[in-house]
Amino acid sequence: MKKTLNCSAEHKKYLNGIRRKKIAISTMRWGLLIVVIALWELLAQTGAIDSFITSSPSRIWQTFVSLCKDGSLFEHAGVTLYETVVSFLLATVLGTVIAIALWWFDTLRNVLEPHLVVLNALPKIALGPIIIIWVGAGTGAIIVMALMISLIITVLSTLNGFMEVDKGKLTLLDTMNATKLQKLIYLVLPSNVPTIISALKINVGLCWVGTIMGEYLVSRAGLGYLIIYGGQVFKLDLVMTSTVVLCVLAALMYVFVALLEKLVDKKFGKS
Amino acid sequence: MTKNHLVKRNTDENGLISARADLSYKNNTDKNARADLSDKNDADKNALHDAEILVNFENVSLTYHDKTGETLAVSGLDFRVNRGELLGIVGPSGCGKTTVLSIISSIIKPSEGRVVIGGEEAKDRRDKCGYMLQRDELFPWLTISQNVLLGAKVKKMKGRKDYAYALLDKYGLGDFKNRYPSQLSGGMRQRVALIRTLATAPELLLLDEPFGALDFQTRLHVVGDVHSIIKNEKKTAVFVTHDISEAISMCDRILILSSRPAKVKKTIDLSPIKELSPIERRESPLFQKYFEDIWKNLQNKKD
Repeated sequence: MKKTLNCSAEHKKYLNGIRRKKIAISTMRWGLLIVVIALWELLAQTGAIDSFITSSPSRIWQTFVSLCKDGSLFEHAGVTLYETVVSFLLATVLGTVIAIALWWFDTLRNVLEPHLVVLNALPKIALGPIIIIWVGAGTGAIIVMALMISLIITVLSTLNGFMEVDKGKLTLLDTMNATKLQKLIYLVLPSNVPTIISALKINVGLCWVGTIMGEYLVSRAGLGYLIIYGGQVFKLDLVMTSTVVLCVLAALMYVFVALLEKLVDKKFGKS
Repeated sequence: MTKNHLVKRNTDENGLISARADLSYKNNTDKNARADLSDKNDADKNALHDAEILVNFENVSLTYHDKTGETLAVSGLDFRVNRGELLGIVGPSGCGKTTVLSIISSIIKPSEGRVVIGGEEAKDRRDKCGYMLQRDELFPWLTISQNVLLGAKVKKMKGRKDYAYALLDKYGLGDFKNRYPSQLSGGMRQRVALIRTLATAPELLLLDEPFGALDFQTRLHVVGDVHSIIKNEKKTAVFVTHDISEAISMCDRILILSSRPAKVKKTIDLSPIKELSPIERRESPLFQKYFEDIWKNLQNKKD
């Protein structure tokens, strides 16, 4: 009796320890962010750093508010977000479809695999001028750019997951006389949901890279355009504000995919 | 010698099963009797539609090819499986035990010979066979009831649900229908795997070392469970294992295969302990004798 009481007290202590550590970590996380911003502002206010070159949190806020007022921020952020989401969805759907085709046709896979690997190694940004000439300098070119960056890695990682499906489970379906389509639907796709989700996670980042690079090249609209324009006319406030907005949007999209992963992991994650 | 004696005694004592004992006795004959094997084959072919025999595995050879050359994996392998029988196949590792099961279920095509199930020579026998593998291979994203019905779904068989659920209920898994495999113990999962195999009502069960992935304690239980389920449901089964004691505790008859190319080296008839449960068999004085007999036959494989 005494022993169990002792035990539970100790266990309480242990649980408290874990909780305290968790609180400490998140305090430090936010603390770091606040300290950096405060220090930045303080140094800019006191003139220790030149806010013309470094901008400052208060100036970023002012720029943000004025951009919001004339609505241009929403316009540019909207364009970038649209391009990113479209290329992200296209990369995911096309990538999965191509991976399925390559899984299905052995010869096709064997023929194309080295080409895909080389294409994957190529810095896709080098294709920028070609894409602009072929597709035209506009939203299309930016989406193609982002697609190029994320598609091939999606195909390769998804295909890799498809090829590594549990051999025992494939044998089981073989003993049941399953067709290739049944193997795909009952085993290969469901067992690769985690693989596809982790490809999504990588794609979120890559599509942002592709979109911003595309906007740098095309220079018509979007946050990437604001950044490159701000840089050219030396308006660091504009550059910093656009970067912060970009940061927040990318984080939100990542959180969304991470949530999706958590949801899916509950069902497909365990093996 | 002693074993032949045992078989004969059993035949004398129990006239009813004499036909079956006779058959095993026939298979029992050693190499010296090889000469008149062809005659016997003819006799067997005549008895093809004999209700006693479910599977005719006739003179099957298999050569397979890979980069390093060709290998004769199975050579002129010939045996029968009787209806309602639990036939064990033991042999040195790599002798092609699993290959034999794959040939029966027609996953692998033999180079020579043929396999007949239920008197019917079919190209694809997978619909007649239920295969149970070493690991349970339950799909983690499906519930137990979905897993159990997977075979029926793949084979597009309608109306298997009631039967499958009845089996789950009967063998203590009724409360776990909506659970996921990760929530079950290893022994329970293996029982689910067996019920998944039974759900398509196969004529023949093929068990490929189905207990290999379990720890010893669990294995003893699951061997008992699987044995009683197979016997309860009156199924015919071929059971491949490298574990001699497991074979003795489950089977009605055991074929000992030689090392590659696989041939039937000897047949052990276990009818004297047939009515005992696996645990009871392990306690039987005959158990050790059978064990030594099989062990010896597996040892002197080189001559």
